[in-house]
Amino acid sequence: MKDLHQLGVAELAAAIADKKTSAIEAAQHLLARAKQHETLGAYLALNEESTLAQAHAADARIAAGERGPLLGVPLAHKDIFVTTDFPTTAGSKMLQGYQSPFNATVVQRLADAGAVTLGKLSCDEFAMGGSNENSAFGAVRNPWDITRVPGGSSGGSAAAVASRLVPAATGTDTGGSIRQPASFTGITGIKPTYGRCSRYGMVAFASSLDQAGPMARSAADCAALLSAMAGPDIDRDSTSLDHPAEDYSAALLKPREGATATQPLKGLRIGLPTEFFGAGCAPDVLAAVRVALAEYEKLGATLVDVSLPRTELSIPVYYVIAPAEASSNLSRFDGVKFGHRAAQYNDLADMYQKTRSEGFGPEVQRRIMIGTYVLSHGYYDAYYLQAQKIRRLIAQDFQQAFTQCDVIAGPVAPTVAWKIGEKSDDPLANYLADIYTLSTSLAGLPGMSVPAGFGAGHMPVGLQLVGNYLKEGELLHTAHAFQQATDWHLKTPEGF
Amino acid sequence: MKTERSICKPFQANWRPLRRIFYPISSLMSLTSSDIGRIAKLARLALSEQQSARMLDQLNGFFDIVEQMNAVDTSGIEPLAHPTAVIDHVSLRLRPDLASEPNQREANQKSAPAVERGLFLVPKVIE
Repeated sequence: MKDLHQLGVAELAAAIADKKTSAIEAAQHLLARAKQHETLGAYLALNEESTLAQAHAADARIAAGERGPLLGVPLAHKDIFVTTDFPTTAGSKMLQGYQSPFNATVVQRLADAGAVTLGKLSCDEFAMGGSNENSAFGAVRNPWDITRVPGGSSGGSAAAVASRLVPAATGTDTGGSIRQPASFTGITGIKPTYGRCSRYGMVAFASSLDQAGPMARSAADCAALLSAMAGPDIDRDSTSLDHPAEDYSAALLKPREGATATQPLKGLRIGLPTEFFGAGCAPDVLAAVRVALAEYEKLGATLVDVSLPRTELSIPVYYVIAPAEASSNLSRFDGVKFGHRAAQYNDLADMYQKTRSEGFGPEVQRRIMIGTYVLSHGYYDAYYLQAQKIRRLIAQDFQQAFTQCDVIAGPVAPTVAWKIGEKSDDPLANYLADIYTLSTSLAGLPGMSVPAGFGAGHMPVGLQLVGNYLKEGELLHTAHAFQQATDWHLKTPEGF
Repeated sequence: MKTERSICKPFQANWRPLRRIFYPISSLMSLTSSDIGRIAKLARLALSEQQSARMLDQLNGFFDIVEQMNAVDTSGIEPLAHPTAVIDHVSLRLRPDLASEPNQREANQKSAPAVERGLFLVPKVIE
């Protein structure tokens, strides 16, 4: 048998069920590996005692005859999900050492399915960023080139999965924070339809955009996780969609109508937004994406040109709406009920100001400032309300495109992962790099990143697939068919 | 590769927002240092002089691209606050106004900076 860390979710679950290994052995192996590769900076917290207790409990369930696709499988969570057994920081000094009295719904559902939590993974502070350099606890390194960023904000999750520290991890995506790091590290990640996974217990950034999703090595492994994570949480999240949970693993394998043995995607229409294939995208990225699309044609899909005319506008629209919601959500950090409080202050107002200035990093402060301004008296209509109106137009553009195609495809990001420090002094350059992921988030549509080869510096390139509302099954099926025909998702960075 | 920044350029047109006439912020396209001070105060952030200057530059750079939103004709378009409204064509749910959580005062106060006898401590507010 291969080393345990080389096994994906399905392989590891099968090995545990067949008694070739055990949950405890897998947990111990991956805990040791987490320590061995500490310099990547992927983990923010481990709790060996809790992990081993969970693994023992999973082994007991297996011994009692229970079977399940995640039973005994080790996972790790982005440190934006609150957990009772591990501190939750959201990558911020503001929440250093915070102990949640409850588990996030997504965390609890995965635990109920028998998954074993290994630890908490680094992220940009409050999930604000696209390089993981905004974490208060240090940068995370990309295992493909440790001088480069892993992407963000779910950078720790991406680096951990890519470096085989863990078979799968949770992430969250507000404007691309699952898809872009998945693309930068050569793994598979899916952001479901807004509202598909409960936001309960996710430290809030922008409530109308935040969505949880799995990050793993393959679409099949993502399907296994998402089946456990998704589904209504009506009493605890007012935006949770009231649609029953689905078995995405079954959807993945179910043949399309009209499929043949050599053309499993016969009849599938893939829309290519012309705005995603322009001069703004680096040639190495476009080349990899085009090769992937040619592969889709071989699998029977038809490529059609579509238009998302407000793609560029999605940048200002997103960077008005998300900071507006963030400035409101982050007002709870006042040094009273939880988190950091300044040591010295004169009065209540002084305590608030000092606490917040010490606790929040520069990018978070910038977004709070933007949000406060666009919501302030006199500017609300020109900025926030106007952004919300264009948001509706952007959502309508997608529905127009979906009259011509079933799935939309294009690059995830305009470039491969950049060098650590390269853009850290230039917030606007970071915002502009989100151009291909923001519109999907604004519309609330499901989107994913699928490994599609390599670009400059032998860095991974992801193919973005976007589906219509609640079409996660179709998206995963489309990605899985590609992964049956290609081996990009099986590539491992050297030394891992 | 450096991403192009020209995207905000085609939208300079003749548009003049009302705020130039009615609102106190001094210039049309750019914020001033006193604006930064006012926003920081609203946001309860204490910025040093150096931080304020940097913030001013960065926010002005950002609002250059935000201005392109003003060129979009949105007359008759309803604002979209939440994707749920277009996914399920429903507005947000309200649950019954009933206590559903157990009392966990100690667990909830475990991460509080200052607690005494089950109460959160804050600086004196009323003399």
